[in-house]
Amino acid sequence: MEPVTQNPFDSLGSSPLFNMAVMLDILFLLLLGIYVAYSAILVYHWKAYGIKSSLANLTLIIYFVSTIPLIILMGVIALTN
Amino acid sequence: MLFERIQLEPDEKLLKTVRKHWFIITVELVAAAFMLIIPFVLLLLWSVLPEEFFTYTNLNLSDHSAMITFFLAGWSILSLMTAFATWTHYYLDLWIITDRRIIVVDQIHFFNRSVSIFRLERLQDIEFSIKGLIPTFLNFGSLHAQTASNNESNFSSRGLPDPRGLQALIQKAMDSRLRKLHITADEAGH
Repeated sequence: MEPVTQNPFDSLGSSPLFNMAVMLDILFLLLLGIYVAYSAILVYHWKAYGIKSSLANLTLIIYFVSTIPLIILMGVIALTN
Repeated sequence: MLFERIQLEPDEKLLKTVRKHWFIITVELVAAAFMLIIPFVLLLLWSVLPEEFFTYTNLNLSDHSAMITFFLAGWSILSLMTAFATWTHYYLDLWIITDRRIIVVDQIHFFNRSVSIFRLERLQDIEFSIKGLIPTFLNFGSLHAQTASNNESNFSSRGLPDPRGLQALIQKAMDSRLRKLHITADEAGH
């Protein structure tokens, strides 16, 4: 009797263990956690050790303006797929 | 803010605040910018591949546009976080030279920060070195100072702009401080 050979990648994406939508959710939550922790550390450092408050505020505004839309975009993609 | 934490002494004058040379931060930020654009360049290269390649491999990126956007956004966030960490370490790592002390703030990582304070009258020797082609042309290098105390008596920093000028400034402040202390001691003696 011929052994049954099956390409393990055939079921990729449909298996409950490797569901792409779940993977995106997990990746998004992981990155969101890292982002929140990193942002808190960044804000603390600039508020505690910065010299000019105007430059500290400018840095933080640029940081949040450039990263929050990307986080929202990732969240929308992860939660709608 | 930093100066609220350091608390300058009464009548202490701030002479100079020094950060690393602009070339150092530029190189690091350019590296972060390269990191940011790598996936976009790869996508661009992918888009100019011949049509036969897609029919042969049965790969079409437009079928996975949402996932590609997701990963591009994630990569961009990580690159931006790297760039902001670089900028933060650059800005918060500094030398504060006053007419009485040198305050060296070493911001190595977010969780690795040291603040050392050296009184000018305890400084024994201060030397600078400029090594290499780019540092010579752009005038940046290392500054190394030694104090009279035995333990942890040396401090140094690399990539400082105009180290020769800094050495002269510190030397002048040190001489002036010693002169002032001697005058005060003489007045107290008489």
